[in-house]
Amino acid sequence: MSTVKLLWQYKWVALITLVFEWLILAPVLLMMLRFGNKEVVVNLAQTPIGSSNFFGIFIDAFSTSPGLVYAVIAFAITVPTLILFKFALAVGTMASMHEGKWSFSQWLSLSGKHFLRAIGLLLRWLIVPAILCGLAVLVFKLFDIESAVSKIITLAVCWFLSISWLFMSLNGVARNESWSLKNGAITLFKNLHQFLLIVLVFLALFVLAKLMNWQLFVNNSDINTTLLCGVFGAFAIALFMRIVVLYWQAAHVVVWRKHWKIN
Amino acid sequence: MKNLQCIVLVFGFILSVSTMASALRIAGPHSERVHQTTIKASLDVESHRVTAEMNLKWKNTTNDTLHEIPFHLYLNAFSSTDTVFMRESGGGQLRGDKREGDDKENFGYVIVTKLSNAQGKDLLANWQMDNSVATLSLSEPLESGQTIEFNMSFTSQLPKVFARSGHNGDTFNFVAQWFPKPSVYINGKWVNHRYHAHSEFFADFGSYDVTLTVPTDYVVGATGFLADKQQEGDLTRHHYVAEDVHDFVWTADKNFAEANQQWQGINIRLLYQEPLDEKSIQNQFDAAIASFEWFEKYVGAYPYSTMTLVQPPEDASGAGGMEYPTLVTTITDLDYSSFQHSAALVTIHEIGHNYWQGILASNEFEESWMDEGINSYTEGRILAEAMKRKNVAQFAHLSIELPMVHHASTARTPTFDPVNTNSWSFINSRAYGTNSYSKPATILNTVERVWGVEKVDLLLTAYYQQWAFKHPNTKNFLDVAKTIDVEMAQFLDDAINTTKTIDFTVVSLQSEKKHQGGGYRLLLEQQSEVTPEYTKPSKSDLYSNTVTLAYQGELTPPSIEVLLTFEDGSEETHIWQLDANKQWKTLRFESEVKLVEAIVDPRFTLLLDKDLSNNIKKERSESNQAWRWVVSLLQSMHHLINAFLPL
Ligand SMILES: [Zn+2]
Repeated sequence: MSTVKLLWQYKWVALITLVFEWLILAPVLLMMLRFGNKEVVVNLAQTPIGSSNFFGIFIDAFSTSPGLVYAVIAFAITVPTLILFKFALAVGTMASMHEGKWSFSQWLSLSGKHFLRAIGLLLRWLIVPAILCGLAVLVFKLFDIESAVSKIITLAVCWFLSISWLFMSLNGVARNESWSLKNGAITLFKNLHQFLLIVLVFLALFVLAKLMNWQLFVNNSDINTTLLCGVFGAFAIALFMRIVVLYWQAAHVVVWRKHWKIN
Repeated sequence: MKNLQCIVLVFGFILSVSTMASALRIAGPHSERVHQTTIKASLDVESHRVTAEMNLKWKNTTNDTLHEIPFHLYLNAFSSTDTVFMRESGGGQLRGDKREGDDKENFGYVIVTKLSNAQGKDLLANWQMDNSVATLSLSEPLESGQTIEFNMSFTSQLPKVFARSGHNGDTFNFVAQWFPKPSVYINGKWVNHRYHAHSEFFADFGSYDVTLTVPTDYVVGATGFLADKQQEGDLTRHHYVAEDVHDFVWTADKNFAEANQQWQGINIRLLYQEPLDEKSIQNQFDAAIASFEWFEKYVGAYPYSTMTLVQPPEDASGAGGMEYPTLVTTITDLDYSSFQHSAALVTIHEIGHNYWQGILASNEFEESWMDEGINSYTEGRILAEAMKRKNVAQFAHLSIELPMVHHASTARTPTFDPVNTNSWSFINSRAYGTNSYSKPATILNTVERVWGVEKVDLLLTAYYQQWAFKHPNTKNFLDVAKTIDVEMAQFLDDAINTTKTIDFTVVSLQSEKKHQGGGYRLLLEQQSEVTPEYTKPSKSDLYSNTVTLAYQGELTPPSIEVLLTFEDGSEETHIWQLDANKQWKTLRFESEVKLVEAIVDPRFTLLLDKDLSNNIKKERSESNQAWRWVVSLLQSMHHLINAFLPL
């Protein structure tokens, strides 16, 4: 089964997940709106975003308006909830992909069913990025690597390798198999070229989304852009990001099934 | 005629040679040279202890007859947990560093072991030590113009460095505030403060002739000019001469590597810790040269022939970022970074002190702003103008200029004390910090933006010309300002000597289609049988705009700009002439295009403004700002999570 085909089959997952995400983030949004009375994003000709003047106004607004501080606290509380919820949905999605057909209730019940075992995997998996990134730091020390760029790239590669390992292993959890972390590693390292391909596609799409994201930020803050346009743009980019993430998840299912010769 | 020419030539040659090989690149004396201090010191690198003999000739340059001479014994601030310095610093926590423990090696002292007059008469009985200060009672009064001579022996035990002076438990020794130093008699009284947590500099100018004996494998750096170096077995004697300076500091470390660069008769010497790459080394020289270039152009000459930059090792970071005449310490991390320029900035800052503390030599204890504050202003200009680094930090889309950093810290600190407050009298350490560094920098940045940079340049030049080597105070500075611009001087006076503040705001903004009046037209001599004429009320094509501006506080410039932006992007600038009796103003005017935004002070001239974020108002229908940026910001954070954990 091709990844793209699988992706298309699960297109609604992307949309529904996004709606859930926005619902979870809603309290933060409301908090921030209290703060919104402060005209932080101002005439961009005077204070381009990121400029020193922008920074000055932002700091002043931050310290004279408690709304933003509350919003940041609300965000800090919301993020773990968001991540756990998305983690449940991710394992549900992969389990559903292994079953080969999708329905809304089946997807949610699979998410609930596998959630605790997925958390167990997550806890065991935590040692993977710790070791990989630790090794990378050791290499920096041993070979006296000073360049920030090579450090960032190496750490990013280690992190994405770990993440990919996690997603390979989630296949095991989704299929109710044991030794998922070990089998995940076997699948990943026997199909490393696949991993590189997935990461490359993911990175390309991600950079594109990031550029659009930034452009949106600029446009959205511009007084001449209508608000509806901004909200719609945000939604479109968020949906695009979700599809990228879904592609990443689907790819891991496809690679797994090919490796273990499951049809 | 020919002979005369010859004599002039020879004389000129001798003169140029002598100025080349001396502590001064511009022949002195520049100061009164109150004292002539000769020290022969040797360092025991195992115990980090200096034993020394000192000959002091002190001249009464005052108009009064003196009966005593107070001295600094500032190393005694480190002698126990009960000193003023230790108490003020919370038992030894300062500048991000702290005392490493309660072991003996963390403490230090300086004690005078022998004291006699020129004739060899023992004077130790007249020596009264009170921790970090001491007083020598004179057996005979010292008349104005007379010189008195003493011989002393003293021992200085260095503490483990956590604040400025000391050793690192290994090979690094930073020997500052180490010898008994006479204090300053000024305005009819002795000024002899104890060593405080936040202030330590106020001393008289003089000449130093210091011979330092250390193991041969140690590299030495010191105030002034190395006149001579002689090896005797395992030990080497370094003979340093310094003139027209108010302090003498030195350092010795086996691990120093050395680099030198010349700039117009100044030998810039960098003592650094290996490894350090070429680019980072050059970055230090560039910072030093940029400083000298800028100061010589806008302030005045650097009269000395040397400048030594010392990079302390990482385990002696407490010695970093300090200023002494012709010798300063850098931060411990000198690696060049394209993102932020702290390595260059700290060096610029410490070299700047050679002017504001070294040459002007104001009283840092009582008026720290004159040293740290003016310096915090000039360092920003040197970084931007002479080093062409407009931003002190630059991360992706975020750029940070120094004036805005100083604004943020000034605006965030409550104004409980005036800038001009004794360094130990502020409500807390944060108030000391802001009022000594960021606020005076912000005051000068504001003055620069409101009255123009040329006037600030004139002020700094005139200040140097009138007060170099003369210990000026705040009043002297303001008197110089008055000769440049009376209004500017008044603003400076208010900003420095009072707790006056300022906060501009746009209270409201409305822009609506103008009403074209309508209804029945009733005439005065209305006749009952005629129906009054009726016109339908309507709205014209014109917009009627109302903008209300206001300010709180008293620190007002003469006028301030208000920028009005219209829906089609066109702009109009209004000048608001400020009136102390009316703190608000409503602008009413008509326009063909809708007014959408008003901003007070769009060029950010008044950096002293307590809150810049209320300087802007958008028309109500346009001010769905919250949605605009909240959606964007939240979305960006959301995407960040998605990218790092693609769930
Ligand atoms: Zn300083």
